[in-house]
Amino acid sequence: MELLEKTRPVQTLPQTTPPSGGARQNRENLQQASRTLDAYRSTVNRLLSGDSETFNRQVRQRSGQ
Amino acid sequence: MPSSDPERLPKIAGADIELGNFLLGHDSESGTGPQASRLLLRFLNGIPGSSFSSFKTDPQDFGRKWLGNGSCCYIDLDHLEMALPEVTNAWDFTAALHAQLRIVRAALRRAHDALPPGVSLHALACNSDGSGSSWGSHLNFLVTRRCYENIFHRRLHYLLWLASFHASSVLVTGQGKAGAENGAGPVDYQLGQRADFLEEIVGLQTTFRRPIVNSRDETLCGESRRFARLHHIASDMNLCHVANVLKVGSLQILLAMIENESPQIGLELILQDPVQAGIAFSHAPELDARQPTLAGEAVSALNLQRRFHEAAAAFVATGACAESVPRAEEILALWADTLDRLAARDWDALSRRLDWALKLRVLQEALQENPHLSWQSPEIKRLDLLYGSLDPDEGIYWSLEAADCVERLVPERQILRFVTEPPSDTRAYTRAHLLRAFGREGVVEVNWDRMVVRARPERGYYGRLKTIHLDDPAGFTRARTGGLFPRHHNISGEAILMGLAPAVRDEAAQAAVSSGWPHTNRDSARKRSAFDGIPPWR
Repeated sequence: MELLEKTRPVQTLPQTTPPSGGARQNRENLQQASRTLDAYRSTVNRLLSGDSETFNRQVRQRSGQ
Repeated sequence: MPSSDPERLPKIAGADIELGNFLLGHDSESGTGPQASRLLLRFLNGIPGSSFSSFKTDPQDFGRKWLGNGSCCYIDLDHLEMALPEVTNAWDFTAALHAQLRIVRAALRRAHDALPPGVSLHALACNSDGSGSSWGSHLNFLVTRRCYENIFHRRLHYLLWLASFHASSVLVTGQGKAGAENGAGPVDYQLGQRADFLEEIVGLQTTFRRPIVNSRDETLCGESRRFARLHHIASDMNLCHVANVLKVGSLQILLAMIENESPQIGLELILQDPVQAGIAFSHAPELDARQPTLAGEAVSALNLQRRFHEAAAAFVATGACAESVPRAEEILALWADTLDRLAARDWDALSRRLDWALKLRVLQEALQENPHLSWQSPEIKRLDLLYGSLDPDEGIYWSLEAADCVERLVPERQILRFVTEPPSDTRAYTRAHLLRAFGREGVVEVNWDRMVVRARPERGYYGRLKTIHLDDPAGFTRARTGGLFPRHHNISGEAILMGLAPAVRDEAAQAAVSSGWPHTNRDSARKRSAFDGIPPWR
């Protein structure tokens, strides 16, 4: 975990940029961003729980260019 | 070689990009790449590149199809390869790249419907499988023949200068990768995917002992001695918009400098060993690696990039690339700002701009939240590989882009336009419209710099064959030929050919006979499909 400590980029989650526009639009945009971040977390958790060894083995490719 | 002022050409850019492709739920002794790539190609809509050589079996150029946006796709070994239409600027490049990924994603979805239950098709936008195989995301740039000769045969310090730039540019263009390959020393995470596979300074080859600077001399510009193409194989596949704009834009400026024989090209930026430096810089996500220049000064990749930027800025300020590199000042400003953020270790900003920083963040979060995992865990490698999966249900980049965690430089409407439309300011415009005008029955052969068509297919099955020469990548733009392709009504093939004279010649007839003509494109497509190794379930 040395790299983790040295580069230290991690905050708890990727940060979204506050959107421009009116207050209501801002609120809707933030809600949308929150939903998509939830989708991101869900994707990562699903991928982490799968059979990674089989997956990685299947990825093996004949060398390209 | 003349000592006169060098010619300056627009730095037209293109790309030939291979995808990692495979099937899950279907085993094959030799891997599933052959079936996966053929499935993807089958479900792409396009016109075959040749109706002459219907049994052509070149394993590195199989089944090429030309698409309505001026691009093409084919199979190179076991990979689907997508070649972008020619563009004039780095922003169009980024839009065309994302458009092409969407085209292939649509084919991926259609192919899924053809698969039996339990089998799934996957396509990855990356450059290595983590098990020692690498494939390319190559760039192509239009340069003068004199520029090419200078790089490879006359002024070899240009070549070393370019190689030193590439070694340090992984800081901006790396996609990031967990682990090392190809005998490189162990590392938890590195900036680049290709660095471990770059083993020589210069060479023709692209599949073994890959060189940092590739000397393959295929102009794709007809017989002209005016043009040459620089084929760049050293960089990674990028999805982040900023990384793409900087990758292409900075190279456009540097190649314009070389083409201009600019005095800003200095020996002080040349590394003693660009190959070793490329690996060392890639293996140091802490950004603390240093490598010696020819003068013995130990420099970091960031320091080198700053100096290349300074030289590029001095060159742009002379106005020498005003005509050849669109938006050069914007490229310089974005480049400088990104280097500043690297110097400040501004990870929030960097993860919005650079793929390696974004992927690092994803993997670090996974490690933090799952302390039982390590950098060597297969789960982490799986996340690494799936960062650029074209399937939005598993491609991590796409969910982060949707969550506004990535800085977008080209608007959605521009990407959508390039899904169906060619760039208007290169020869891709005319190629795409010729494909539409003559259609599958009228197009006999297509390549980057020429097209053979049946002049009057309506007057006979075979028609007269005409070759249209599209030598100049910067020619045949909408401004030049747009009047031949009216939007709302048909125009005869004869009229189009008359409008394109003198680029049209009769020489195809002889070639057709010697190549086994006649076959229609429909004939050849049917024959190909019987021999292309599609799995038995389809």
